[in-house]
Amino acid sequence: MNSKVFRRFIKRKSSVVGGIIIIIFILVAIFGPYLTSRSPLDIDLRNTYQQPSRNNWLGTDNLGRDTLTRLIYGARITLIISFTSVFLGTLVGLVLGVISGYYGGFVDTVLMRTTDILLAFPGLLLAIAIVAILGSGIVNTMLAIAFYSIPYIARIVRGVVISIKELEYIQACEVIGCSNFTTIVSHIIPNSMSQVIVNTTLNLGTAILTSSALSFLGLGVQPPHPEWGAMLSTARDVMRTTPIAALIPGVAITLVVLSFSLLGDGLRDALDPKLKNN
Amino acid sequence: MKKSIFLKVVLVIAILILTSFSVMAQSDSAKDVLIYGTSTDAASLDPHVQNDSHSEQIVAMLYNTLVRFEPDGEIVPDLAESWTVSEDNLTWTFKLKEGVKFHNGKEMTAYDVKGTYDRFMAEDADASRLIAKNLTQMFESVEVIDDYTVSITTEDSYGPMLSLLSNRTLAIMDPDVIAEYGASTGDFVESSIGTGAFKIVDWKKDEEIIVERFEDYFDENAKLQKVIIKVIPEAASRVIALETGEIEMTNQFPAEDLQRLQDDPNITVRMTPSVGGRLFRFGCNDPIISNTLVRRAIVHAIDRQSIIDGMFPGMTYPSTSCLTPVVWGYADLGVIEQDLEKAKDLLAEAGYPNGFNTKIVTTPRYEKGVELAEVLSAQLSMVGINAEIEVLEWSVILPLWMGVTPEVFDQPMFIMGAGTSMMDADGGLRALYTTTETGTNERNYGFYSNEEVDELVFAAMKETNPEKRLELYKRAQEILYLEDPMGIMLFDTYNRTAAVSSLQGVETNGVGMTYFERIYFE
Amino acid sequence: MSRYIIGRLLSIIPVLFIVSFLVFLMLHLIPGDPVRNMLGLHAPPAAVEEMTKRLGLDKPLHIQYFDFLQKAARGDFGISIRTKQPVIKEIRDRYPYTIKLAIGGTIFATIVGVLLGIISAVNQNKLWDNILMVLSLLSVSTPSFFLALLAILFFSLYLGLFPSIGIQSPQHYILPILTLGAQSVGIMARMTRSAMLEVLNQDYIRTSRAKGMSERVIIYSHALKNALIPVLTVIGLRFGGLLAGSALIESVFGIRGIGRFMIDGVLNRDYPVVQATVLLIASTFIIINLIVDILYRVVDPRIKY
Repeated sequence: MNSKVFRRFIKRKSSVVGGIIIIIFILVAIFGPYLTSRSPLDIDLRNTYQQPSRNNWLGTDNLGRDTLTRLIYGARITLIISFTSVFLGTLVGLVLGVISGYYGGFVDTVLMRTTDILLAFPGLLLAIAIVAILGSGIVNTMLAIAFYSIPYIARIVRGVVISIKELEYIQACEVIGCSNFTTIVSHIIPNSMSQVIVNTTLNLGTAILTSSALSFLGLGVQPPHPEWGAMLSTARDVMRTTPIAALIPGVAITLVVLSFSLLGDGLRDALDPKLKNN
Repeated sequence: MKKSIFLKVVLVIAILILTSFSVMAQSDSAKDVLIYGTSTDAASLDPHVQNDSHSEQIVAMLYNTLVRFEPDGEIVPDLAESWTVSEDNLTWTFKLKEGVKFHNGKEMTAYDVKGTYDRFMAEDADASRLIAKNLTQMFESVEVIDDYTVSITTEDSYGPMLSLLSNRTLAIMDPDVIAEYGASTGDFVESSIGTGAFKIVDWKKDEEIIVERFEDYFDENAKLQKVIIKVIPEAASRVIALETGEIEMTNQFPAEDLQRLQDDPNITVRMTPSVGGRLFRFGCNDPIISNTLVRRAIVHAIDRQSIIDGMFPGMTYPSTSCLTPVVWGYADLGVIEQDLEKAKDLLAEAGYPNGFNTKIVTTPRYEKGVELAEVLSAQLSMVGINAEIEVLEWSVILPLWMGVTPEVFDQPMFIMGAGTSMMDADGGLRALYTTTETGTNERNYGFYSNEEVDELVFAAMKETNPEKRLELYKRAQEILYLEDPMGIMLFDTYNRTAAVSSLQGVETNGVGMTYFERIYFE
Repeated sequence: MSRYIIGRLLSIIPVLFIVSFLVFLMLHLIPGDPVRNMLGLHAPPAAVEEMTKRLGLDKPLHIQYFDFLQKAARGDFGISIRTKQPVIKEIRDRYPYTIKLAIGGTIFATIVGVLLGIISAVNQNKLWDNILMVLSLLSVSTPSFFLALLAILFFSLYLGLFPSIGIQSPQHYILPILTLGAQSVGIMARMTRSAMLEVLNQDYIRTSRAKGMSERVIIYSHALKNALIPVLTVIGLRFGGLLAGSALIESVFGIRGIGRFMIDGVLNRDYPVVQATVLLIASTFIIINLIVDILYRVVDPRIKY
């Protein structure tokens, strides 16, 4: 399976580019902080809002902090928030999907009606409501994003579980008396994997958009942490004189989200060409 | 061919229509209507409740006090036309002006003065009246002598009485309005009735307040017919609005734009010394912060000049006391320079050689409030103090500052704006830094308590000899500022206004209140 | 047909109930005592008790929910803690702005998106198609608030064409609507493109070509009509998305809409406001979806549910 998938994937240049950018992003997020000697919290009030220079490759922000350093540490925060929340959501979604599909009946109806409602909602609205209850901060932002990532996965996995249940050899197995549950579970993973992977990748992009939106509004990551959306918010006041302060974090967000979309698209085509027009 | 000509014609017409809209919009502001831009909406227009300069400015337009400050600090008659003090210095008798009308047509009499003051002097006055109650804790009674004469009796002699009465908090209201609206006085148009040169006609929350000239004003009528107070929260937008003429005046603009505004020939920037200063107060109920040595260490760890240079250049100067120079009773105690070694020594002496963890609470309502907290946190980390930052909105933080018990109060350091509306050290020190009787923080938000300061401030309150008062206050400031710090005084601010150059008569007193009734377009 | 409509109408009732219950529950899910959260920790016990009684918080949960529903039906959502005005009044003042933005954004996104989608489909895999597909992907990946800032920077500050802040004149609506709609343009274009492609490859289109009809007529009268059906659903969905997304646009452009009001409510712990706005936006969303569902059925009777 792997080499065919890989070959299909490489055909789409845009997805490859997306993938490369993501890899760079992850590398920067993990190793970047070790390469720079500065701290993103180093305030230098005599050098606020500097244009790019030899000392500060991307200039400085409202408190004289080096923008490049903050960008790198911001990548780390973005990585942590998006990956943690989406994987958490995927995990919970998986479990719920299995339960729903396997047990069916009342549990299934209730869960599916709820996911119907949740699916219909704009993710940002849900996230805002959850932050309203739990409060702001990194952890709560992750919980909020994880929450709205659940319905998609739950639906997909449930669908797979149900279709597996129908398979003849499962029913035959039942007659013989082998353990139904483990068989189904062992079949779920390969059958749903492509959809889950594609969905998770796209969700990562959405997660980044949501967390930066929350931080931009003041509801997500709190100062002085260098989250990209928060950096964009502080740069608003000096857009006329130092537009680069706003451009840098904005372009960063756009680039990473775009890459996840391209990657997701490419994965979808490579893993299952039948899903092309989904 | 025909189609493209047709399209072009449509395009031209569309542009004409659109531009005509903008022309129409501008012709609305004829030369006796002023559009004034502010950063936040007023929180309340009830004089007894308002506790921030934005609300206070509008209250100043709508209400009068018995006496008032002129720009140079002189106290002149406002609603009272003359007054006398009794031999024992305990009773002040005011003769009120006759024919003063409230915006609802009712004539102001001594009963209204008594009614207004009784409201917060009453035992069961609710928590929001705390400010007024604290300011007037020395009042014993307010009595009506006749329709136009009222007397105020104090428990002990009280020197700064006139300064106190100029305070916007003690503006005269209509007790009937208070009775009718109770706690929602000052929350909307109908319940904000005063005697001022302007009356409020519309209030769209978070958007704008419209006030119009009150034709039956007892003094000289306002020159402007209408003032539209627009709320524009983003600082950059406000400056742009001023430059494009969308607003014609504002009193808040970021330091980054100062130079550009001053260079602009169409805009006049005015700056006057003010009572205002920015500081971070200590919550002395915190076990670590309650240690005097710790507070002295913190105070010496801060580099004030770099904050001024980096964040507010040209608009502020370092503090030299816990009062500003325009406040009567101010003593110049010098700038506290950053001294990291001294700070570390003091910390070690206090028992924290490796620093400690704490928290700074701030609100974006104060200009660059969040950035200031970030800077302070960074500077404190240089002596090992690890301060996390908590950002709260104004409506969340305000209830935490009044009437809370020390067990509940959780703000070891919090942002504050100093600025006594009295222009007298009594207003700047007494309510804020003397030990409270009830044990809750009342107006001494940070639970500061120092016996000697208590003695000095109360003695100075009763002292009628100005020389002696100055001495007492000087000693008190030494303690509050240096020896047993009540907070980190950062800088004093200027009152500033930026307005289109055709606007004249713009005067602002030390408290920061602009006399809108004197403004006119050339 | 009418049976279908009634059926759908009935089906959203439980959904609305669940949503309203969740919104109602919000107040109780917040850590800490809801009254103390509203009045402040310092509030004297007497005031706390009084407010608890007044808000009915001492009654059992299901009775509280019933009261909440009754009041909501009447439009009574309580008083905003920050502005001290009835929440419903504040909402009534601000809703028009948001609706205008959402409608304007949807119209803009639909017209431009469909047009671009058609161009893309007709030029499948050629240069235009590729460019437009990348652009549409870009429009979905750019954070709306960043796009708004860029728009202000470019159109307002640099070119001086449009006003940036506030909503006083018709021109003030231009930039917010464009930015709000921009994200949806990409989605519309993609949707239209794939729908058109599917239709264009159908047999009856080939027959029309063979018969000698002009390409233009084929595209606009046959293909488009059928392609528009799935696009319809997206319009409905996007409208709801725009309602929520307007919070960001309103923040950047300083517009006094519902979205901004909700955000301020969250920041200020103004729970009556948060409950009311979330409920309102959610309900609008559900109802819009319902209307789109019905319209879909009307337009294409072949679809059975």
